[in-house]
Amino acid sequence: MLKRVFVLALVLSLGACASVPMSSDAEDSADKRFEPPAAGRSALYIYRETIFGVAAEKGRASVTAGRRVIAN
Amino acid sequence: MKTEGARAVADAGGIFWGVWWGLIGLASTQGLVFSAWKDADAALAGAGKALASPDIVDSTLELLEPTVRPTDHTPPARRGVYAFRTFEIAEAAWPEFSALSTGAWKTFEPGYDARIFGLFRYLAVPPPRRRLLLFTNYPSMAVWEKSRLRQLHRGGDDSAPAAKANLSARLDVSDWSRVVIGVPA
Repeated sequence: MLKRVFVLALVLSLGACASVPMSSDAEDSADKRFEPPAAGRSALYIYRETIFGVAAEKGRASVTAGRRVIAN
Repeated sequence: MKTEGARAVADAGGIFWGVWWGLIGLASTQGLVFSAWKDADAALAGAGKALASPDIVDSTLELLEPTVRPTDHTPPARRGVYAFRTFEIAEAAWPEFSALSTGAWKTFEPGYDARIFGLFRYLAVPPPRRRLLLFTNYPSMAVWEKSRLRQLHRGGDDSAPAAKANLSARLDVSDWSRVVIGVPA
């Protein structure tokens, strides 16, 4: 028998298989352009700290303004 | 990672066997990294160096001991797909499991142009249990599918008839198995 110890590592990578065609600079800028909301409305950005989206799926996360839940 | 990880492992005294991304059984952000070391202490000290990449955010290591294969530490270089199949058996079933495996490989490998690169034991699972990793290369997913037991049993494939009885009997002495299919990165 071969006297070696092998290591099999299961790894989690943020960059795995992420080879996709990239937009041009002009398209990138256009996509990121912020259009102010109409009068009487506001825009809300949600920033997800974890890379696992499950916890933020509908029904598992709440959005609060102060102590008031405004979305589930 | 293939180049930097391999260099880091070599610098630490190990042998880099490769990186595989999941085709079946892993998330799109998961992969498998294989390396070989002279002993468990060297493995624990050095294996992390293969993973010293800013792209890798988490890892889980399994220490494995060769059984009947590999007989040398040459890294696998064949193209195609690689099956990482884990079996769990009773320790008492190991002699039969081993004999059935090596017997089947005689016709399985030429019948499907497959290569068994390793049948490893998980060091973390001691007797009376035995957990094994069977590491096999196939030319393609089509060949892997063709070689499945159900295809053999249906009589739809006769590439390795002598392997049929052995692999079926091996399944009978196994408590469970699961497979991950990877492609070389």
